Parts: sequence; C-alpha cells; structure tokens
Amino acid sequence: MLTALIYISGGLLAIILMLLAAIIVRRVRYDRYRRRYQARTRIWEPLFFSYLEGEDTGGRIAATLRTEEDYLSFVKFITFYLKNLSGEEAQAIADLAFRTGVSRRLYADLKSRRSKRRAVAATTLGLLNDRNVLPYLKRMLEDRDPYLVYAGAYGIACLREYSLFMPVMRTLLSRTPITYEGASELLVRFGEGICPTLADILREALARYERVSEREGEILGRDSPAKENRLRESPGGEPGSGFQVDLGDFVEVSMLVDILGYFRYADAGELLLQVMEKSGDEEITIHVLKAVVRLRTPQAAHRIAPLLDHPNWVIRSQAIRALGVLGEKMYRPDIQARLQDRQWWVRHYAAQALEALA
Amino acid sequence: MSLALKIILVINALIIVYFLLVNGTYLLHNLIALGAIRRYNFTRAITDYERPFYSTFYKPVSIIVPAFNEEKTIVETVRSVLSLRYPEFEVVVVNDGSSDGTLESIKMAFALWETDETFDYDIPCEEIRAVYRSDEHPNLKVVDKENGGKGDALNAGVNVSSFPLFCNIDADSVIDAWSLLQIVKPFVEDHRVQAAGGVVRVANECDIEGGEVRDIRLSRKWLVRFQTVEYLRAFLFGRLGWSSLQTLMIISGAFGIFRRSAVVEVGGYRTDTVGEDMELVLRMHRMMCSRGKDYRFTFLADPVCWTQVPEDLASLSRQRRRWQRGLGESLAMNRGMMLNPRYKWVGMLGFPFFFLFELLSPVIELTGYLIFVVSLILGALNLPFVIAFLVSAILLGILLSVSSIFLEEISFHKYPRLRDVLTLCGFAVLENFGYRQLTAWWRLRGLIELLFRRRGWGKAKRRHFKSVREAEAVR
Repeated sequence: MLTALIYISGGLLAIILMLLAAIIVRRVRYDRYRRRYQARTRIWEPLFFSYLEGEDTGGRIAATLRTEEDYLSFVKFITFYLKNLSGEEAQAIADLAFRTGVSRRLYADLKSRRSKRRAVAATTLGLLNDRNVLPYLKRMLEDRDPYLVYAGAYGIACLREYSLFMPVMRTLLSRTPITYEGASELLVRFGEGICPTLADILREALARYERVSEREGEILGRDSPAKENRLRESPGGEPGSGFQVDLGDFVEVSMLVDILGYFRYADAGELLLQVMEKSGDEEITIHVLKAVVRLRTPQAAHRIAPLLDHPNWVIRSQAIRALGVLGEKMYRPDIQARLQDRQWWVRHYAAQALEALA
Repeated sequence: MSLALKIILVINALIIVYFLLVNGTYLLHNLIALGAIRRYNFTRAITDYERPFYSTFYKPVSIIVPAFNEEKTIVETVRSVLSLRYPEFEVVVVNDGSSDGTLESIKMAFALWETDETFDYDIPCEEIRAVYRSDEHPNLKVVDKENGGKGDALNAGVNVSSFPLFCNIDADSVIDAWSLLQIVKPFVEDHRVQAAGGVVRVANECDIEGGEVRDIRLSRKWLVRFQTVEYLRAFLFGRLGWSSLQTLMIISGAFGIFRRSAVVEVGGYRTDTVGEDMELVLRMHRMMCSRGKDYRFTFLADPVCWTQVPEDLASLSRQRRRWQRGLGESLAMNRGMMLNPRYKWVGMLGFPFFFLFELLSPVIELTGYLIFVVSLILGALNLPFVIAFLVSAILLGILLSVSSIFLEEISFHKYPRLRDVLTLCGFAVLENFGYRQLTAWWRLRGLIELLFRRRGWGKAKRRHFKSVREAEAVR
C-alpha cells in the first residue's frame, strides 16, 4: 500500500510538473503568436488598403504568406473586413484570397478531419462568395454535428444561393435546436431575394386557414391542433421542396414576419395585417406591429387602432408606437388617452408618438 | 485488537474510499471540462459576437441588480451595466431597504425621479415603496422596497422587469462589455435553454474605468489570491463539467440569466434561504422534469462577471458559512430529488454528489485529519503511510487547481502577465497548507449553523473599486 502511494505521488507530481511546463510553453507561444500577429497586421494593413485602392495587385501580400501560421492569421485578418465590407470591396478581397492561395488552403480545410477547421473554412468561403464550395456546404447540412450544420447553412446564406434557401431553413428548424431569432439572424444573410418566397409561405398559410375555417369554423390559435410544429417534425425532404406553416405555428410565423419586416418588404404589408387579424395570436401580433413600423404600410393605421385597448400592454405599447411612426393624426386623442395607462412603457410610447404627431 | 482500534481502522478505510471517490470524480470532471473547453473554442471560431449587437432579432433583456448597503460600489456597478453592448436592455436596480446611502448615491449619480409606474406582482415580494427613473438613462429603473433579503429583492426585480429574459448580477460586480451578448447566445442557439450562467472572477486590484475592467491584475493580498485559484477551479472545471453532463445545479447569483416566464412559473426565488440561487435552479429542474419538458441549463466559460471577494478572514468566514448553509438549505428543500430517477442525471448523479462531496465534505475532511492523528497516537497506522497518503492527497489537490489554471491558459488568457499565472500556480500549492483546512472549518461551522437554524447573510466589508479609490485620492 505504501509503495503504491509513493508511486501515485510520483505520478501526480510528474503530471503537475508537465502541466506547469505546458502552461509556461503555451503562454510563451501565445504571447509570441500575438506579437507576431500584431506585426503581420502592421505590414498587411497598408498593403491591403493600397490593394483595395487598386494601387497594388496583391502580389506583395502574397509574398508575406509563407507559413501555415501566416495563412491562418491572414484568414483572421480578412474575415474582419469581409464581415464589414460589401459589393466591389468584398469581391476584391475574394479575388485577393484566390490570388494569395488562401482559398486553396480553405478548400483543403473543408476536407479536414477537424470540425473547427471545416467550420471556419465553410463560413469564410461563404463570406468570400466562392460558389465552388456549394457541394461541400450542402453536404455539411447533413452532418450530425449541429454546429457544422450551422456553419454550412451560414456559408450557403452568405453565397445567397436561393435554390437552397428552403432546405437551409427546414434543416435549421428541424435538425438543430436553434431558436427562430437565431435562424432569422442567419437567414437574412440570403438577402431580400427570399422575401417573395416567405410571403408565399404566409399566403399559403392564410389560404389554408380560410379553407379550414370555412369548412369547420375552426379557430386556429395556440391551443389548436394545427399548432403542432410541422417544420421541426418534417423528416428532411428533397432540396428545393417546399414546406408549410399554419397560422397556429406562432414561432415560425413570427420568424417569417420578422424577416419580412427586416427587409422592409413593402408588398407584404397587407398580408402581414391579415396574418395578424386571422391568427389572433398575441405573439404574432407583436411581431407584425414591429414589422409594420419598418414597412410603414399606409393602410395599417386603421387596422392597428383597435389594438390601443388591447389587454396585453406590450401590444398596446407597440400599437401606439406604430401609430406614431405611421403619422396618422386622427388617432391623437386615443393616443393622448393612453398617457394615463397603468403601464409605464405604454405611457412612454404614447408621449413619443404624440411628439412625432405634433 | 481492541474494538476502538477496529472502529478507527474502519473509519480510516472509509475516509480513504471517500477521498478516492471525491478526487476521482473531480479528475473526471476535469477531463469533461477539457472536452467542453475544446468544443467551446470551436463554437467561438464560427460565432460572430459583434453582429448581434446590430441585430433586431435578439430578445431584449432586463438586468436586475439587487443592492443592500452597497453605497460604495453601486454607482460603478450601474455604470458598468449601462455601458454593456446589447441591442435592447433595461437595468432594474433593487434597493432592498438599505440602511446606508445606497439609494441616495444612485439617485444623485443618475438624476432619478419618482414615477407612478405600476406593475403586476407576478411573484410575491415585500412592498415596493417607489420606482425611480432617469432622464439621462431611459433604460434605468430603480426600485426602492422594504428589506426582504436577496431572493425577495430579485423577485421584486422580476416583477418590475419588462423583458422575456432577465439577468441577475450582484451590486459589487462588474460585467465585461460583451458578456451580455455572450450569455444570451445560448437562448438564440437552442430553444430548450431556460437558464445560463457565466463565470465569476476576482476583481480586487483590477483597474476599472467607466464601468469596464481595463487592466486585469492579480491582487497582492494572499487571501484574495487563494480565492482566485478557488474561483478558477469552481467555475472552469466544476460548472463547465456539470453543464456538459446536463447536470448543472447552480447558476451563480452573481451572474446568471433566466427565462422570466420559467422563473415566474416556479414562483420565483425563495426568501427563506441564503442559497436562493441554487434552490431556484433545483426547483426549476424539478418543475421541468415533472412536466416532461426537454430543457437545458447551460454554463458558459466566456462571459465574465468580475466581483470583489472578501479581503479579511472574518468576512470570508461569514461568506463561506453562508454558502454552506445555502447549499444545505437548497438540498434539504429539494430532498425529493435525491437518487430519484425521475430527475434524470440531476437526481441520480448531481444531487448525491453535492450532498456527499460538497455538503458533508468538511465533516469528513476534518474527521479525517483528527482520525489520522488519533490513529498515529494509538499506533493503528504507521507514520510513513500517513505521510505518503497526505502527500498524495496534497498533490491531488494541487493537480486539480493547476489543471484549472491550464484550462484558463488554453482558452481565455484573462491574466495578461505570465508572472500572475505562475503566482496563481504557486498559490495552488500553498492553499493546501492551512487555507484549505481553514475553509473546511468555516464550512463545518456553516453546517452546524444550518442544524441550529441560524439565518441571515452577515455583514460583508465593501471597498470602492480601484478606479473610484484613485479618483477620490486625486480629489
């Protein structure tokens, strides 16, 4: 027993010393890497800006990329600009990545066994607008790891590949636990070209609702069987195939409403108001009101006004905010009455709306 | 062999088995945490934390700051919270009947005025005397209420809050500017997440300016350094490990975020315990499991809340006794979860672990020291064996602490100076000679106080944050 304890102690001491050595080595390497990265960015920045100005072909930057670390650092460097630049400048960065061999390296990383490398390569190539990468990204959508699915979806969204919009949306909602806020955040990267598709999905939902209610007089709400979440349960389907939501699927409907509002898709104004009125769902109503503020749908004011007396204060406050933004002066007395509302936010938005209407 | 000697030998054997089990579990936790950190580094590589700042899709958050006699730190804390980077949030400061100038200092600093704002008492709490607002900061609300304890103050904050998520932070804490975006991320990535906790780190001696930690330094005080190592150990491998096993049983009262609806559903924080943070999480587990809900409580190692830790033995002793009482009360209030398969891993693994290895550990640890001494005197154990056992126990303790510092080094690099990191390693060694035994003694006293039903938080000494102290010195 004593001997065993001595061996255990010796082993533990060895592990502790190894950990201490690892801490020191990692720290020294990290500090060196940081210093080298700073030094590299000091060199790259002027070269990069002169390249963007058209004064350089990018050859001088390519000459600085010699080691694996140079490439990884350069990917990090350009990713910052890719996220913040668009149009010709983003295209110029993509060309630079191609000329400097960064794209080639990223392709190799897509086949790497390391998930992190694959994910970074997928998102960066998406940002670089490199369409050759699409087959890999499509395959990533089928991966078992939800983060790789997300990375693939992100890359496809950055490429604005509309043909894959539906599969991406369905995959995100059915095979990852992502919330609709997270999905919206990613889906808007497809650009406003997705709006007609989203509007069609809502139109179909509305038409289906009308057919059902005509037939059965059914009211679709949160407690209705139609609330059952079809998207999360749908088994996959062929790329490009559609899917349906019902007005009772308040989460998905809210997501579609948010995205349409985000892009200020004016053609959807009347549709959103109908969705709000037909669904009767408070969550959807709040999302539609927020969207209407962005869309500034002219006919909305008269449809929103009855909500000033809604028992839910969030709806009251959003309705007032919307009326203030829409600038419909005939509702000033009603808004003025809301200055006495028991909820501070309602009074706050009423005061703001009155100021806007003054 | 006499009966007494036989009993002593049996106790010795039990203590050794206990020791092996505790440390074996901790080592396993370390490995799990290592995997979790690697995974976390992977997700960080594809997460864009800046974009959500400009996003319109994120859920708005209410930040609740309960304050009781915090006049020295409250203004700095509120400034820190107001400077957070997040698209839409409100700050709800709850003055829990402070007897010092807490309310006056925030009233003056933020030019507050009393509103006639009304709200629903979704959760019972002591009477709210007034709600104040600020013209300079429309997203700041200050609630003045009768004293009812931290849990009650948080309940009042939940009642007054308007948004679907609420984040509670301590009034003596400062959170990193990007921390709120980071801690909300799980609520965007996973619809099952009901609550999330962030890391609490030691802020004593750190430079805080404009509500942000500018320079992270290791305190020169030994007591603070010991606690720095403890916090790293508790958060970086303790909570991360539990979270990976879906068995997170505590989200720190100093920095956590919850779905408001879920907290209201379980009736909010209990006011009859000093461990209200752990008790709430346990009760939420119970509710979610009994309703068969697919849910997640998650811990993130990146969002950081900087807090002041006690700098004197008396305050530290009070804090540790209180924590031990809180742990005992939380477990007692939810004892039905113990080894109950209905509560899955929490009932079968987490709860028994906390009971055996956290609640009872000071009893066993101190009994162990005592029995070893008695055994030596009676000749039941030989000296070389005892020395070899103590050496391996100490080395195991050092290994656990050093591996937490290693986890810190492979992930966050919060301490910019290598000297500070090595000093922490030194204190990981030193803590085994006196500090660890002292904390075990305080925890044992906490346990005794629990048995004798002692209540209350005790008084903690507060200091200004370093920036405020320097500003005052200049004045």
